[in-house]
Amino acid sequence: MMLLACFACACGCLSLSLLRKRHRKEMFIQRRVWSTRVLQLLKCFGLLCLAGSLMAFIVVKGVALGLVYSLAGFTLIALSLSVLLSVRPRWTLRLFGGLMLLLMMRLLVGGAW
Amino acid sequence: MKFRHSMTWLHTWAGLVFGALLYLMFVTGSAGYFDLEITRWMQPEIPVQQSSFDAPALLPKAEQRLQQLAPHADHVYIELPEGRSPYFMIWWHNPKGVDNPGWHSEVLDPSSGAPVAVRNTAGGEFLYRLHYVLHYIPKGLAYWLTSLAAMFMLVAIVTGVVIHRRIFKDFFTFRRSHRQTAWLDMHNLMGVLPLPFHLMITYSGLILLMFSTMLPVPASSFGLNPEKLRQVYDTVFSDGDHARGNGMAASSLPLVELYNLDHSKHSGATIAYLAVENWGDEKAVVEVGKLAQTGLEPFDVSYYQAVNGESFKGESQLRDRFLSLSFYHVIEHLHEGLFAGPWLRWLYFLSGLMGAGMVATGSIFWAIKRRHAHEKAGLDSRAVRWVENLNVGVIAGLPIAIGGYFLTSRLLSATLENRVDWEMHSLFVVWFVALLHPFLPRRQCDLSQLWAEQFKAAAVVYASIPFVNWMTSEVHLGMSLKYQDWTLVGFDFFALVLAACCAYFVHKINGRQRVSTMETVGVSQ
Repeated sequence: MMLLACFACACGCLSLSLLRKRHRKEMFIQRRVWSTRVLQLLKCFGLLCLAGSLMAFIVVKGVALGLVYSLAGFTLIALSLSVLLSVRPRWTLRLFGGLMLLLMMRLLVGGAW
Repeated sequence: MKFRHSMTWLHTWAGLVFGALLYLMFVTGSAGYFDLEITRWMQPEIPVQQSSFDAPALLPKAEQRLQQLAPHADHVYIELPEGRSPYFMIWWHNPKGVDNPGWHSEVLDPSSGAPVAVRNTAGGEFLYRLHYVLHYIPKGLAYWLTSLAAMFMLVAIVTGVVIHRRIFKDFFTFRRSHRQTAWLDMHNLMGVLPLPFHLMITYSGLILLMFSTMLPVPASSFGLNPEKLRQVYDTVFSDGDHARGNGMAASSLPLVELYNLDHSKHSGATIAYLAVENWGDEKAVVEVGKLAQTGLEPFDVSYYQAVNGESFKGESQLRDRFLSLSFYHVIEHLHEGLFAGPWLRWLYFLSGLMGAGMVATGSIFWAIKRRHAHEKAGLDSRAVRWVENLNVGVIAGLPIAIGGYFLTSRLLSATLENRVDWEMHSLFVVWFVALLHPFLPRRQCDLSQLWAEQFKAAAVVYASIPFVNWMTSEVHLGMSLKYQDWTLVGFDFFALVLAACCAYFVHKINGRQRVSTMETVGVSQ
């Protein structure tokens, strides 16, 4: 559950970071115009993911500790993403895909931490 | 002046005035989250625990030792090597009128229960206390200074949010290409990403010192008499009625029985300590602290009558009665982070370092901006250079000083008189040298060279920590890895990581310097 919460938080951060044209340009080789509707969907998805992550942390750790864990996790993930977007933007999606794969494997092997 | 402009002015000066002090508070406060681990490294005499702790077998030995050493003590405390703590330790308090009044302690071997002679050290506790008590100045003045710094920090945070127009748009932005923008982006990242932590830590810091800095509030009700105020403070933070004995001697149940009783009641919980209030008294109370699994309290505490083992509700009743008191405790726990497990502790540490980074990048950015403005206007930039030098000495100098403190602790003789004081002095001596270094007269020296030199020194200091550990103790990295003593492994490994980071900074600075030299040569040709 904790792993899922972290993953949801990472999803939220990634979606919100894609709202900036600068990050989209750096992350994707093919340049295409993203419609306002897609951007709005991305924003909603990102915020929902963050809310879901917060809820997951609260379910596992209780209200007080869950809130602390959620904010601390968010700080770490957002910092890592910012550094990654600045240093190796093209790696972001690959790394994210790798994380997703790891999570799937972990879920298949048994429970999410 | 427009509102946002005035807020920018306030943000700049609120951050700059106490910049150096805030940096010290953030760095040492962050180190304080690992105070036990640091102390463990500074006391290599503590044996590596090779098997799990056998409390039922070793508790009677600790109790026996207490009876031997402190027959007249009124309070005793046994710390078990569980959770973060590597110590099997006994503490006792002798009341006034008895030989050696006050608190005393002894470390025991966690595998045999035999006393272990450990060196005196200021340990991680010194770094933790340094962030609010400072050093060489009276406690009261230190409280005022650190509270003022926290207040300025709070103002800087709030005004920072106001002046940052694109706070959400720029959330993940770090543009490295342009020097000035890179520093500003780094300052924003370090300030905005852990914003809830920064707000919590400064606000809670202010609340924790309110009894010194907001004295007029209790004084308006209870007067200015210090004794009366002390009484009020003691009443507010007392442990309730059970803390008072009746002076009638009585024999208590062996502590191991109460340990087993509590263990059977709360199966699965890890008991971290046992404390006895009014030891040997008819009203003696045993407090059993277990590592908390949820919530913000570090321990789940149960109380027992020492004479018959009857359990009762203790301190929590008092907290339940006063909402303000429970609020104070929540704030205190959030600030100290004692409830945090290893992962969360590291995140606390990281957020604290980001706070230090925010202050440091803010000061550097201000100096760069000022230099540009001065050069543009053709003004004398000696004052700016002075600030830049100071930045080097404070920002790069403090890590060197802390590293020097660790090394001194190991290199000083274990039997040296006043060694604790010398350990503490060493930190300030090294820091003073690092502060002086940029001001030394030289023929030609640009700022990047100063940064490179200091980071080089820091890299050498931190790289030598595992080496000095290996030279001065038996618990070197190989040994601690073999016995899986993760505290010691973590300390040595983290020192190496820090050394690598500093070496990387030196490499980057030198690279940039080479590029700028080549550009200058190219332009002149």
